[in-house]
Amino acid sequence: MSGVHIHDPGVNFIARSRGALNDDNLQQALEKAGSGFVHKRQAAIERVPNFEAMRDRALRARQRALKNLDVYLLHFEKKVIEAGGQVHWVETPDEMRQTVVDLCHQYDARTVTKGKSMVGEEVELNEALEEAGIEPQETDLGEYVIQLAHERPSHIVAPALHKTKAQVQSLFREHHNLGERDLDEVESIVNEARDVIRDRFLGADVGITGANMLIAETGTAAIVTNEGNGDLTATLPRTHIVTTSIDKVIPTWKDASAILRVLARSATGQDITTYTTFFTGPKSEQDEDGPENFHIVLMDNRRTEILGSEYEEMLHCIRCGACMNHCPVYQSVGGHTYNSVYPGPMGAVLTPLLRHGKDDYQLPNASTFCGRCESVCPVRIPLPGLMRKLRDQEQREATLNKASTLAVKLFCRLSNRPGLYRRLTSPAVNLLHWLSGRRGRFRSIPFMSGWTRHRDFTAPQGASFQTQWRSRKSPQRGGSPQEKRSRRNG
Amino acid sequence: MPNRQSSQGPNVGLFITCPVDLIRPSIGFATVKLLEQSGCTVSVPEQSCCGQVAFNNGLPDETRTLAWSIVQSFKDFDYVVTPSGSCGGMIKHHYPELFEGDPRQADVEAFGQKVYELTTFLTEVLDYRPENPNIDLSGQTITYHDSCAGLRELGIKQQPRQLLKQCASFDVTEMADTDVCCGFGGTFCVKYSDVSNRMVSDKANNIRQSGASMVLGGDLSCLLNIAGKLQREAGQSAGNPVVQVRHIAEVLAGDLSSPAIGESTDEREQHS
Amino acid sequence: MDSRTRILERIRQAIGSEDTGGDIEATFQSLCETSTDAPAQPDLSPEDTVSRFIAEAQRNGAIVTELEDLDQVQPWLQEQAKALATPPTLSLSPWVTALERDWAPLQVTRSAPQPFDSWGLVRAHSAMAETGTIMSLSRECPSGLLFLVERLVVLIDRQDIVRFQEDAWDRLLDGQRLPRTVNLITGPSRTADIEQQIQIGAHGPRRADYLIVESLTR
Repeated sequence: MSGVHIHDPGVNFIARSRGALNDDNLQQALEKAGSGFVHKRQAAIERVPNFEAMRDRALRARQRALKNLDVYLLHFEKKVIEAGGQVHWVETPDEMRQTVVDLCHQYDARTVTKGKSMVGEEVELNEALEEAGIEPQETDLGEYVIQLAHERPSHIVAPALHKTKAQVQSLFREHHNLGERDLDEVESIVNEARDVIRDRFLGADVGITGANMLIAETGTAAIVTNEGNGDLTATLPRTHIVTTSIDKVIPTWKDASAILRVLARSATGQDITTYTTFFTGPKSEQDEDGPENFHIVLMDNRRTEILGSEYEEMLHCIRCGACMNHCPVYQSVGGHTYNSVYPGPMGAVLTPLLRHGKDDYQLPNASTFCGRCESVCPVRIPLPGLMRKLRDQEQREATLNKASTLAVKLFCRLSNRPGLYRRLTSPAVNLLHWLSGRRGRFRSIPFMSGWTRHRDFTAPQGASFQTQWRSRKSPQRGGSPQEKRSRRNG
Repeated sequence: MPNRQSSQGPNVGLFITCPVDLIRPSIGFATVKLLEQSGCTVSVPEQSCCGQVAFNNGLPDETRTLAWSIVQSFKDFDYVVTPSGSCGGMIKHHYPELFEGDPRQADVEAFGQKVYELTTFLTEVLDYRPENPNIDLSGQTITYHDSCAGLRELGIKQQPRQLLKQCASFDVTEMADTDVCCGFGGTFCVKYSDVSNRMVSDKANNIRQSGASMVLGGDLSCLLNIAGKLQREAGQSAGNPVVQVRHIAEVLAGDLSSPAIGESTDEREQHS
Repeated sequence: MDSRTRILERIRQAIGSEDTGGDIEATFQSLCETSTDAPAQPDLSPEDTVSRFIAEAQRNGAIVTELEDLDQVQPWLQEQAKALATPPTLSLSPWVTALERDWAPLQVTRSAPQPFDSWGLVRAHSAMAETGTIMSLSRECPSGLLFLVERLVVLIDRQDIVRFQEDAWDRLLDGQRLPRTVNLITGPSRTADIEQQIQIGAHGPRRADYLIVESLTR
């Protein structure tokens, strides 16, 4: 397969968001997905009486893991090796790609099946495999759809969330030999994919999956799925490669339970996903099946920069997607507008930290700080707080002040002198009041087109409250009708 | 400096907030009326912005300066009350965060303890239940927008509903997604104008679909955004009903005679 | 210096620890001993274990049947197969094969399950009431079988149903070498990747039957 189309490359978040808002298919897809996740999560957490305690327990597991990360990673590694597997430590996406390609060559692999791996997406693994002459075959239905479309995932749990059923049908019509069959129902689409992908499982030389967790206690990689594709990917080929990152490790199986209890409830509103699978090493003589070779590729890619920094809490993320499911910005513009495999609130924090891209500071700015993400995050990551820290960092690094920053700074200087503030603002709002006459609002204000392009602007009622209050307190200055109405106690 | 009077009730410093100060003083006077009816002595020290705009735009040093001057101006009051969950959340939650490791941190934290958003103060501190309520809106279909900071930083959800039931005799008719952001977000609404527009359009739709003739809220900035959208859309399509937008303080104080937010004098006269 | 050394060095710098060069096993054990953190589990009293298992499994799409003993399994299968035009082929886990029972009219196959009319008959190692989940180990049952059959029939000994995941881990982490694969399965395979509409039967079984048997030991 050839290269991936990045949604509107080269333009910024604002331009991409305009495109997204005008994309009827995307809007239709977002509308169908939107509230479903929210309602299902709500129902799931209401089915248990102690979801808040579960969140706290999951957070403690993540905190403990980071606090002694070196120990847990080394113990994890030791146990993987004892079980007959290998661990490869890689620092960068480049090194991850090279390591996986080398492993595939080592096993003479021509076809590779893949389960969903966000780390794989982060390093653009498919492109590297293709360049090396190895055919990567996505097996998660959503990943398969976007592979056909040459696109990137738009959601970390539901990669093809931006696609409508009709779009998927036409992709299948284009790429599959459908003959007379039509795919009007979701069921027939799923059956079609099941048939096509099944042969791939049976024929692949290497299976690549991600990992939702790495359990230090036993050197175990865990994945959670609903389709079963990850298991077939990990089980049937002779070699299983896990592409993952150092922040996925947790101390014990009990900690794994702590994460599992909040993961699916937060993500899809299930108590647990259909399949939760734990892989420890390759097949031994005691096992009935499994791969002969087991490799864990453990990537840093700037996570060690985040560790110990003011952004460390971002490393608690368990990739459930609840933040984006509840984010009104994400729900308006979809994942591709973020131009990152990590979209939504978690992506708005993680992307600038992992990528240091020129335009990445736009992402933490594109938030109203409504706080809904933080309120649903299973491990209580203070996402708006972290976005605010990134805004601070942007200002610290800025060599030139933007006009908007200068305006805010000027406003601060004025606000520091409340008396002057009152004497300047009150006549200004009084003037606006006078200009509005009896209309009560403005349809257009030249220097506020960002507001008035889409909405009317309410005219001020007259002199400012502080000015009116002061004249009310000194009766000799008279008073407006407003004051007279409100005057109490002489 | 507050002027301590020989009153039984607490001395309250009113933190008016920029939007109320500049755009809609009637909310301020309504707030004073409610507090005075409850026996409070209200003072309004000279003041300006709580610093939230600077805080959210990556300027923590500028914010700290503003924050400290507010702490100084209001520190002698028994309580500081503000008709906004957003500015209240800023002072109560984000000031302490801003002064972390600063020698003034303890003062700032202690100050935050006596700062209250209006509806929380009325319900939880004063237990405001006037014998003769200022207004009776029984039978009306009125909805309520839960502003984000109030809802999620200060837990304001039941307080306004309880007050409206007790003091204006109606149950709020809930709209869909009442807890979803209206798209205001401070400078967000002009920087990301199109996304903000989408969010406020959704909000306006939900308000109209609730069948309400009036939407209330506890934060003027959100209400300006919502009113601006409702009025623009009412002007664009005759099918879109006119929905009055008001701050809860005005309703509780019985002040419905002045035009609603963004409403013209003529529209008000037609309606009353 | 290799990547591993550099990554570990950066981690230690970030968290303020030092490479003690000591025995990693001992260090890990002492960390685990010093941090005993009680689990936050759903509420579930011991006497409700089986009923909760059944309720949760059903809510997650499994079909649950309670049987007296092993002798009732073959008639149940026969009854289930009656409605089908083609009798299904049956793939057995080693434990079931070792029972040496006659499963006719169902035909037992030893080759890879076909996409259609293929049933699997396996025994769960344990089952967890909190989510209606069964656990299978690759040393007892090939993991692939669980996913390739069209319909998965899981035999569950009533005594093997525990309340929580942690109880299942206790049975699993008994000092034996861990199996290559530990599978937790809760209901049939599903996907919601097309317009978030839940569709049962993605890559794995379209139907999951849980047969709770009073005692599976002969």
